[in-house]
Amino acid sequence: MDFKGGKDKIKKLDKVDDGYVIDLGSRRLYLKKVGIKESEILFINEVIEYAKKNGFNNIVVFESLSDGKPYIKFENELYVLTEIYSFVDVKKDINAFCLASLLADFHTSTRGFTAKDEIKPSVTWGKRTGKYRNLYTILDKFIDEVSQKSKHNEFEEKVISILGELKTRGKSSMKVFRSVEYFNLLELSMKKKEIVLYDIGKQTLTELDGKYYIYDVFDLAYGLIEEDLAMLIQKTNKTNKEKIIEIYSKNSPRQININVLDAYLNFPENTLKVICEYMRQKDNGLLAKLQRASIKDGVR
Amino acid sequence: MEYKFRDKVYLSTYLLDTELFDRYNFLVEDAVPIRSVFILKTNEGLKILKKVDYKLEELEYIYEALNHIRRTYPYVINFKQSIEGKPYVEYQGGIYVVLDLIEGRECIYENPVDLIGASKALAKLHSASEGIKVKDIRNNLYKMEGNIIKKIKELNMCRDFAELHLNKSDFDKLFLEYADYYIDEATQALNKLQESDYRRLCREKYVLCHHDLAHHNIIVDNEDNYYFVDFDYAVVDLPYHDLCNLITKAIKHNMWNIDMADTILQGYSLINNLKKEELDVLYAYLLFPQDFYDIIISYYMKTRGWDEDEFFEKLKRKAEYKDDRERFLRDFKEIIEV
Repeated sequence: MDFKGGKDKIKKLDKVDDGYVIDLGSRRLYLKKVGIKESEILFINEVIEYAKKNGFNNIVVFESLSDGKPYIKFENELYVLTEIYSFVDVKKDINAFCLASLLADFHTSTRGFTAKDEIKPSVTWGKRTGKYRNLYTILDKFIDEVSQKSKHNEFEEKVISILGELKTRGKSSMKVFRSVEYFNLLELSMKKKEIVLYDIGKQTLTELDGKYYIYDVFDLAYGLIEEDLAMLIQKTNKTNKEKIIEIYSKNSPRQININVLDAYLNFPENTLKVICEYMRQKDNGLLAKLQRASIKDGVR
Repeated sequence: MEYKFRDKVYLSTYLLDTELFDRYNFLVEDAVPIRSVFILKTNEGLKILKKVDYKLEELEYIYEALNHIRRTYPYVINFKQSIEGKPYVEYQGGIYVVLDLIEGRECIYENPVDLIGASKALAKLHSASEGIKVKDIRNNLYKMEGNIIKKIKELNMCRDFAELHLNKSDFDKLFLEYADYYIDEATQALNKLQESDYRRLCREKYVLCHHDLAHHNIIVDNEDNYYFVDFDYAVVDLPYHDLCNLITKAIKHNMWNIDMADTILQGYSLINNLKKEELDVLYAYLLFPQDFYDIIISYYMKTRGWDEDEFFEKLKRKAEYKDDRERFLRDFKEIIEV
């Protein structure tokens, strides 16, 4: 790989998962492969710079290369260059609370961001609930299909045994997503131009030199803040919900809509995704996956 | 992949040189290809350079129509005047237009705020086009019945063609499974249209229809205004043509969700109330299986450069949503009967 960039010369290049570790002698950096488009990286980079201008420094920075771009292209893949961070497990309570606090600051510092002309904004308003709506429709189709059969396989029997709860939870969440309350919240979020991480995962929270940073910004977009909080609560323990909301609310002027947050938390997304997969493949072997998903969703 | 290749082929027909740019009074610093156009970085900001593949007469008509609309609804794309004072430049056998780039984001149909916003904006666009000059070109009025009859004939012809194939392709086999059903749907659409007030409404309710309401053709600017761009397929027709287009584009990737269609009707009706006889015509438009027709004709008339697998996958997807579409049409009929 030929960088042709920067003042430092590459002394060593080691292949790792998702990219390379680059040894420049004075520094070691991580060249991470990112599965997103150039326009998305540019948008994300602009948001990071905006956040930093507003005083939020606990976020990954993409090193700028000699051509001024925050990414490079190699063998048709895009890579960003960052410090080497240590990933922190958000499943642990203390880390989840740390991320809640960081999220509050991140959301506050990025609110109102407007992309430059030539940068295409990434937008997620309505997308997650659109997916949920489709999943809920597939549940109805599953019910129609199995009700016409006299014999059911193991997978279908398992779903039938939890159908009541799936329907109740799905229906109550969809009721919120169809409500004026949700519509108004979405409108408010759009007016305020809220930015979200959109997904919380193993690489979201990192540590470097004793400080904590948000690292996984690769799904960052305009979106509804309640979704970020829901994703965080789902990643950790739902019993932490009140504490996470408390920490978030202490650090952010934005009032969280608990009804909408609960609608995201209660929707049995993982279980319905497996049912959706079953409807496509009719594979009885999905039973183990269904059981894991229903545990994850807390479906009895 | 196929669309990118098609765009590359079209982009390669552009003649980008200074002589073309000299016909405008701005300086071009850079040109970046996106889809089938070029984004120009100029001293007057970002602009879009587009090579038009239809007649000059049609372009001039669209330009005049947009000027008419802009008097009451300003959120439509605007053409940059050349140094000759025209909204286009003829250069080396091609017709080029330069358009202002709208700062903003693409509409998201899954977002109910955007869906209502786009529907209201569409109603305002239609209202703004009232009184538009009607010419022979770009005129779809009174033609829907004839168009459907022609399309039914074509579908029947394709079915006969597929049946004649000794070694039927996967596409042929799948098409033949659904041919009778969709030809029947098309016939029902024709019957509904003939029973409706279609001809009277053509006299009274015509507007300029955008005719390509994909989500990326509606831009929400930084002040939350809904801009319509890309009027290349615009025609004079009944507003239900655009409503059908918007509803179909919104719901076909969302399991033919009736709530989304209802949201569109509600949003549109806040500006232009739709009477029962108008909804009946809209229903007839929705009943016609346009997507199925398009893929069948593309395959048998070889109007697209897709390979056999791509054609088959596309037809398979349409076959898979047959039940969802049926359910949607049933639910839609109930809504309009109320």
